This record gives sequence, structure tokens and C-alpha cells, in this order.
Amino acid sequence: VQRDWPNPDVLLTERISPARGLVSIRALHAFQAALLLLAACAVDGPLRFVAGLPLVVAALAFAVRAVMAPLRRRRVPESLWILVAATVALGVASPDIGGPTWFEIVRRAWSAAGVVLVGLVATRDPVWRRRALAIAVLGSTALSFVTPMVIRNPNIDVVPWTSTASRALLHGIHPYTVLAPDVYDGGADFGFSVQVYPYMPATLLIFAPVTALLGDFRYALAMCLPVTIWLLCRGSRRAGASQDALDIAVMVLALNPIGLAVVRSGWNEPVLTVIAVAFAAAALAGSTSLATAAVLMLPALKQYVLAPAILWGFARRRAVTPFAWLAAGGAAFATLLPFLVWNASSTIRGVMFQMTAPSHPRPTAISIPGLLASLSLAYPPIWLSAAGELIVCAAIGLACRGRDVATILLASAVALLVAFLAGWQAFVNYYTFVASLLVIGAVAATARSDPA
Amino acid sequence: MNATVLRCIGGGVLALALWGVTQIGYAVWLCPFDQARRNAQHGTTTVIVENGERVRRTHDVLFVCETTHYLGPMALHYDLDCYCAPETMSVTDVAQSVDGSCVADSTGSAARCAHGHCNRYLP
Repeated sequence: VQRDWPNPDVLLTERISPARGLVSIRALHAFQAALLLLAACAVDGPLRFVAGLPLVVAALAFAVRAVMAPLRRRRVPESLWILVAATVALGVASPDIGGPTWFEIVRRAWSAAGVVLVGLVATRDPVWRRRALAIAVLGSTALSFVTPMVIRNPNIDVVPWTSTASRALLHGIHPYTVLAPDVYDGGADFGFSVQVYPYMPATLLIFAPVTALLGDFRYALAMCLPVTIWLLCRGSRRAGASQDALDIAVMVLALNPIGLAVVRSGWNEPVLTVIAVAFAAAALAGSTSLATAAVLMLPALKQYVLAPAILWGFARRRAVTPFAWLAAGGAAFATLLPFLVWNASSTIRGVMFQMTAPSHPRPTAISIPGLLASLSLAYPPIWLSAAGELIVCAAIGLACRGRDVATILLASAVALLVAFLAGWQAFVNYYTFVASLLVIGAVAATARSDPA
Repeated sequence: MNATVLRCIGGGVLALALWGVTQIGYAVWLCPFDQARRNAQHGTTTVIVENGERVRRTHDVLFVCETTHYLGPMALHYDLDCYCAPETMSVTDVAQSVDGSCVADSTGSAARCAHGHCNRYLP
């Protein structure tokens, strides 16, 4: 008997009653943490260390409270909806994403309209609620698809690197042996010079077909928003999650103040969010094999996302059969193996690039080393970030607190926040993914079927 | 309109107001370019930019420019900043472009834009 883990019977009686709109306190804290993170992302720029970093630290505090919070339930306070509206409004003032003037006006106007849509959902009027949710999802999806069309060449190296590597793969050339054009024309000092595609090969297996079909891999990122919301709605309804929590989650994901910036920049975190929500849906439905496959796919897509896999391993090491572990691990490794066989040294160089190449923290990173580097002060070593993530995972895993899906997601968010705050690289796309984890975790925290 | 919708709109307006106040506070009290000018005036240090992610591009030249920092129509203070501009632009072109007074940066250890760093690109 694990003393820290509540009785599953308590879960059934103490959690939400969808009809009454009650959610657990941990869900409320998780939403608050997610909204603070998105606010931090929206004010990135000159206010990075004045407002952004303190907001991230506050978000970490709320995320820890979400993990530790009791399962007591309460009605969703109107102040949470107001906080959602306030965060969405920050999209009006978010940094320019390099689109034509009309597009910048439209995306800011959409954020302003989003505030009203949030208010309409908050009224809980069934007709207006449904309409506002549909408009928010459809409008944001449409703008996500328009973004790559109108911002063809954003001034960020992620896009030419991913595009060049995807096209190389389509032409039968090893993607880790090609060089992308320097979008900065030599005008960038990141503490390293990108000489190889620095992301996982699984990303190319997704992006290459989309590049072949539509000419731009970023349409795959645009597609992630409706897929995420569809999976979340489907999974949470099956799991008996709170309708209020689901409404808040949908509005936060759809009206994320920097959602279009993520698509524009070619960051692959929207793909991670799809996999994270697929993991949650499978786990809540009791399909441990599918959940294991999904959670092991996360580090196969992005190097830093180790926490959910580790915590899932701690929590369900006995529930998942050895065959399921092998199959899931094999599927994740299968995305890497062909590239290793093809050219091992180049593939390893690319996959390990982010850990080996940097010579100093990025002064634009929303992290403590980033702040120290920007002030030309001494900073901690690069390995502290990964160590922080592993230590938090080990602490939560050993304390046996991470048995249910919600706790695994929320604790993963805590571990990643610690890693990013101690990291040499920590940008808005990283924090947006953590915000998504918190939102998914919040919905899972209200599910009646979350198996312990 | 429903009171809940109005309160949400109020939350949005408050968030934007807070953002605006923070921006103004930053511009008035924490502006790094104003600090660079004061450092130069007091002889604390002549270096304007010594780190950051922006460095001069291929075929760029560095310029040090003094410009007026406006808050809407109101002049706040003077900024001293480093600009990266194509070598085809003269000092006059750069000064006209930034609406201030500029000089080409020195080279070597006397450089005020250290290690080729700049904060803004022209054009």
C-alpha cells in the first residue's frame, strides 16, 4: 500500500461531476500555471527578464502546487476565465512575427476577438458556448494554415534547416549530411554555428511527406491544432472529464497568444502536443500499450522530453507487459535506426548537437543561465538542465506520487520547467509545450476514469 | 452584454494596460541604450554592446548612433546603440535612416560594439 496515493474509491467520489461543473483544485492550479507560462511567452522580447522570467518562476510554483494539491473539488471560479481572457488578450501586444501588415493586424484582431469568445464560453449559455468554441477552433485553425502561406521565409534558421533536411530525405540524400542556407547571413552569435540538422529524425518522417505534398512542412504544424483538440475532446469525453475543464483547455490551446508564432517559426512542439494528448487519451482509456508507445515517441521527437517516459516507467512498470515495453521502444527506435545504419556518425552528430555544440547560454533564453549570460556573469554548466529534469523525475517517481495520468503529465511539466529554468536554451516554444502538458494534465485531473 | 463577457473583456484590457505600464517603466528606467549613453558620458565604460545574439553580417559595417527615444510624441531620453549596416551605406545614410547622429565604430580593442555585436540591423 502506498501511503501517498489516494484510494481509487476517493477518486471516483471526490472528482468532478460534469453536470455540476466542479473540478479538482489541482486542475485549477494546472490551468493557472499554463496561463502564466503563456503570458510569459507573449511578453518575450525586451521584457524577457523583467516580466517573462518571473512569470515562468510563478508558473513553476503553481505547477508544483498542482502536483501536490488535494483532490478536493470546487466550482470553476470566474476569475479563471478572466485569467484566460487576459492571457489571450496579450496576443494583441505579442511581438511581431514578420508577416505582412494586414496579417499582423488580422492576428492581433483575432486575439482581441478571442477575449470576447472566452467570455461567451464562460457564460455557460449552451448555444453561445458551443458557437464560441467552434468559432475559436475554426478561426485559429484557418489562421494557422494561412501563416505559412503569407510568411514564406521567416527570419529563423529552424525553417531552412527543417526544409532542407526534409527535401534531402525526399531526394534520397542523408538529411544529416546537408547544409541549409544561412538565413542570418553570418549575423548571428548563438554560441554555436549550426552545421547539421539538430533535431530528431522522427520529425523528418512527419515533415518530409507534408513537404512533398504541400511544399512547406509547416502545414503539418498547422494541422496539429485541430488534431490536438479533436483528440482531447474525444479522450476526455470517454474518460468522463469535466466539460468546464475541457472548455477552458480548448480555448487556451486554440487562442494561445503565440500559437501562430510557433507555426511561423517551424518549431515542432505542436507535434509533441499531439503525441502528449494521444498518450493521455490512451492512458485514460486504459490502453497501456498505446500509451506506452505514445510516451516513448516523445523523446524520439525531441531530445528534451524525457520526463513523461521516465515517470510513466516509474508508475506503470508492472502494469505494462514486457512485450508492450519492447514494442513501444522498438517503434520509437525504428524512427532512428535507418538513419544510424545509413550514416551513424552524421546522425549522432545531429541528434547530439544541442548538447555538445553550445559554448555559452543563449542570452535570449528565458532561463537563469540566459539571464546570467546577458549580464556577462558566470553561469552554471550545460549538464545542469538535464540533471535537473532527471532529479525531479526521480524524486517524484520514488515518492510514488506519479501513478495517475494527470500526475504524470503535471509532474512532467514541473521537471521540464526545472530543466528549462536551468538550461542554456529555453525559448517560447519550449514553454508553450509545457503549457500544453499542464492543460492536458488539468483535463486529465478531472477524469473519472483516470486509473490508479 | 452579459456581465461575464464584460468581466472577461475587462480582464483583457487590464492585462494590456499592465503590459503597457511595464513597457513604459522599462523604457523610462531600465532602457539599456540610455544606460549606455550615461556610461559613456560618465566615462564608466565606452562599450555599448558586448553580448547578445546579433553580430554584423557578411559585408556589414558597425555604426554607433545617438537617437532620441520617444514615448509617443514625448521625448524620453537619448539612446546610444550599435547598428549593423551594409558597407554600401555611408555614415550620412545611416544617420538619416535612424534619425540621429552616427559615427563608424572603431576597430580592435577600442571598439564600442564589442566582438562585432549590434542590436539593430539596417535596412
